[in-house]
Amino acid sequence: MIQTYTHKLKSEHRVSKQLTGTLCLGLLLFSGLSSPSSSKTVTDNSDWAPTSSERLIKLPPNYLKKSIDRDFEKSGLANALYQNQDSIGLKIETLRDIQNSIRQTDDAELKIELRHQYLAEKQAYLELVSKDQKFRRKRTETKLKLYENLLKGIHRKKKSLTPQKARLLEQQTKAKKRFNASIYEVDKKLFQYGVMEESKYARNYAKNADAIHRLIQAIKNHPSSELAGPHQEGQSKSDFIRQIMHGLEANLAILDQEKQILGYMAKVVSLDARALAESLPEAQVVRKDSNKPLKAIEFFIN
Amino acid sequence: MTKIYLRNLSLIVSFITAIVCSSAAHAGTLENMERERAILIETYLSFDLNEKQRSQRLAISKKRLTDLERLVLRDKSLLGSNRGMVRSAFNNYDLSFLLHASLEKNRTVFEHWLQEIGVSSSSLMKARLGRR
Repeated sequence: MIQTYTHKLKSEHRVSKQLTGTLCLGLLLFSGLSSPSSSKTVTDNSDWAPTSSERLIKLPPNYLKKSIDRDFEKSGLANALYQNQDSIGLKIETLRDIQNSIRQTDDAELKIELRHQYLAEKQAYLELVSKDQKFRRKRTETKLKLYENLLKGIHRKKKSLTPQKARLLEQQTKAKKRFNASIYEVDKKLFQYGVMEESKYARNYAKNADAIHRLIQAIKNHPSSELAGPHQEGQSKSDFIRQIMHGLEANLAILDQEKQILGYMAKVVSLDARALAESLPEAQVVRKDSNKPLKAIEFFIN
Repeated sequence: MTKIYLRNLSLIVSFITAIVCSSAAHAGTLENMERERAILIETYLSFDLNEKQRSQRLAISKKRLTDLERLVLRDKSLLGSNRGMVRSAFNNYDLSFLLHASLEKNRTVFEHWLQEIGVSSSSLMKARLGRR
């Protein structure tokens, strides 16, 4: 009987101690979430460092986005993010199981034990979500920086066109237009009376030009063609990049909001822990001050 | 053994020659066109040729020039090139692409060239013979 009581007392003491720990950790988590310098826990292999190369600038808009997404999928950051998301899924399952067990059990002691377990799991879940937000923020910020660099690269390329070069390009375009507009008439005048024979170059060029024209048509009609993608026709590459950047900035704003939600969730966990600790009977029995000299007086009188 | 060696050697030499020739031809479409145009004008102006010789040479030259002008107009390596020769070539289409421009304007090549450099029938009529 005495042994059972002692065991109970010890167990209550342990639960109380664990609850105090949960409460402290909950508060720490809450304070940690609100401070921006909590990124020390991110492992070094969860990294993604893409560079805005000349090749990326030259890619058509849709392929550019796909190429960047593909690069991210290969990175350590993507690996860490997806692993963490799997863990979150499992943690939600655990939380649901514990919640059901609490509802079903009638044993008070087991219920307290389960409630404590529930709080600990909630805390672990919040840590995982915090990590997830960190990874997602890192991904969004890296992408945003990359697109900013790409946009700068495109502007730099445009600015590098000197007035002299721009004039030459304009003249060359005009010349080509004039040539293309007159070539049919020129050919007619050159070859109509058989005065001049068509050269080998002209014949081969015509054959190849026809093949090229057919290939271009095939590319245009291909379902995987860039025109079939989300990129709107008539939209420049800079517009497309700015549109993506706008989306990424919106994602960052949403992440800020999610961080706030997580902070409130952590606060709820710490309050739950405090409520659980207070609902428990006093763990430590306060010993009465019984060592009074009067109790031992009989030993001294005789 | 020596026969095989010689055959291989000749193959290598012809291969290298082909590479060198093709790269040289590709490098100077504009230069080739300018050269051919100069030859064409020289043929028109030459006093040493009789009519038959002149028309024969002109036919060959015009055929070449047709292709060369097209080669230059289709040459992507010249796009935005910073060379003075390229700039001046595209600065005056009518003078540079003489054959195409003349046919476009329904003139003979020589007539078109004279017009473009500012020599007209009336200016020739007004000209006076003198000693420089």
